Amino acid sequence: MRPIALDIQTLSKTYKAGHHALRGISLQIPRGEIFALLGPNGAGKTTLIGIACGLVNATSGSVHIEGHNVASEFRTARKLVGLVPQELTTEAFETVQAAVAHSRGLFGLQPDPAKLEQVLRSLALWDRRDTRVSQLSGGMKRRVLIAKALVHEPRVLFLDEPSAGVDVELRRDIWNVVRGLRDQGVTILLTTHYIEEAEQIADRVGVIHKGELVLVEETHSLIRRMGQRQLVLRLMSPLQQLPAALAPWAPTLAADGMTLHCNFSQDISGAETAQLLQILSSAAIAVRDLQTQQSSLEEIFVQLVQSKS
Amino acid sequence: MNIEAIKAIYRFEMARTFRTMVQSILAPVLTTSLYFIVFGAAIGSRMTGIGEVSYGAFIVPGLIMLSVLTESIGNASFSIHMPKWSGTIFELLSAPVSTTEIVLGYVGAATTKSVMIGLVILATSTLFVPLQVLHPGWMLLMLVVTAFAFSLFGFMLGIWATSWEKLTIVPSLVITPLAFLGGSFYSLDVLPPLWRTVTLFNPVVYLVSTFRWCFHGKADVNLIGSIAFIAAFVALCLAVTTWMIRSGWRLRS
Repeated sequence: MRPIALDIQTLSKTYKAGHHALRGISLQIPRGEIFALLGPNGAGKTTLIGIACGLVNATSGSVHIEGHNVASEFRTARKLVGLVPQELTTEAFETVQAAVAHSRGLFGLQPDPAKLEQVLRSLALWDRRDTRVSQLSGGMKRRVLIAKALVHEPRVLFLDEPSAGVDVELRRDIWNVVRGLRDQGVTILLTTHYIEEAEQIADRVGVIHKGELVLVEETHSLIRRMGQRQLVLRLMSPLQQLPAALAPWAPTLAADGMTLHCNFSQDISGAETAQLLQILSSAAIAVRDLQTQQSSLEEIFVQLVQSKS
Repeated sequence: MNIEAIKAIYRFEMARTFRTMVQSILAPVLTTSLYFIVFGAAIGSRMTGIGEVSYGAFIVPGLIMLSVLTESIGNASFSIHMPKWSGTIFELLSAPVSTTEIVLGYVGAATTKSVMIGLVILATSTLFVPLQVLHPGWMLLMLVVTAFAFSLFGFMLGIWATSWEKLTIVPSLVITPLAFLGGSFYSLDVLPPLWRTVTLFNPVVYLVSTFRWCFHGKADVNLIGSIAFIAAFVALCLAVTTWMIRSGWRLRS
């Protein structure tokens, strides 16, 4: 069992206006894991990250980073944490290099030109190092924010909507950096709206809704468990009646009788498909085309959120 | 102690000062020169000296204090209000820094800038009036302490203010009147007894008077009392700032 890098215990946050942003969330993330937190706007994702990073005071509960309480041992805990916020908030008048070097100093580390260069290069910022941050495009500013969060070599990295509004190239760069960090044992918690990305990059996903963790599960097992597979058959001629032998697959027939949907809850094995086709053939039902469909994490997510609201 | 963080904040703030050199240093110098021209040369030449000191020389300590007060408050309050407003403060709040480091970094930089301005004004004034400084060591100490005290006050103001308007309310509605009525341009002896008594409730009187003593060896009010007042003011500001940063009041949600 890997050691726990991020330990959240019954964390609650009620804002002054009375809004319950978090309702007793508990979550443990082992070292070196990429964890994706999914949820609609206002679900509490940013509040959760805010408490872990010291931007928001918790109402109750605790957060430990590598065993250090973020409130009572804030010095040790915060040194281990890097944060890339959702909003593009960067100093405007400093150069890229100065802004990133400033961040390293704030976290108590001496200047390290080699590390600075390595971080800037990994984010394709090296050629722009002497440019003022205000002159950069939105995507470049996002890169600067990531560089600022990485230059003090954090052990736990929080990425709040890192790929919101960025182009394909930057998104690919971000995920390369994230995977590289994970390989070095850095623990990563990210929030995203691009669910297919979470599907590709995250080891586990958590779904947060109205301040509660609705679900935490390994990404692949979640898709396997909740992801429905369907076989869609387009027929040569309208079907009047469903053959009784198809019952195990809970078939549904479109109104025109030309399209047949059969459901598999597990993976379709070749044998099962062949068996189904044989039944159709013996019932003299001619098939024009067939395709399989699998529900994405996005559909699972929508289902989960709808069932809770 | 996170020394690197203090250095980082300090450097960052000083870089801002030098980037805005004209606005930061030259503007106060120009304003003060105008005061000298109007009060020192134009009006001062028609005024009799105060004690053995010419009117032009008399107003020098007051003018320096006036600039140091307003610049300290203005710079320190801007330095923390700006990141609060733009959102870049997230980095400071998520960094492993304590009150001491934040104060030393931000208030230290604002103090440095104010002391620089004070010294530049002092140098400028020698172009207009012959000047003597009887107690240069004390003068420098007073300059640094006052700059620190009001930078600290400005820093608190920057945390307190929830808008740019609020940020300018206190300096313009409270500090400027207190500074002008604090004996920068006149000796308290010239006031009628009632107004003299009222004036003694103005804290700036003690700063100006003590500072003037460093120059001319004469003070309107008791020196020890003045030093006690300044010490109490610094202690109060430190206590409030510590509470603000520890509790995260208007910084953390």
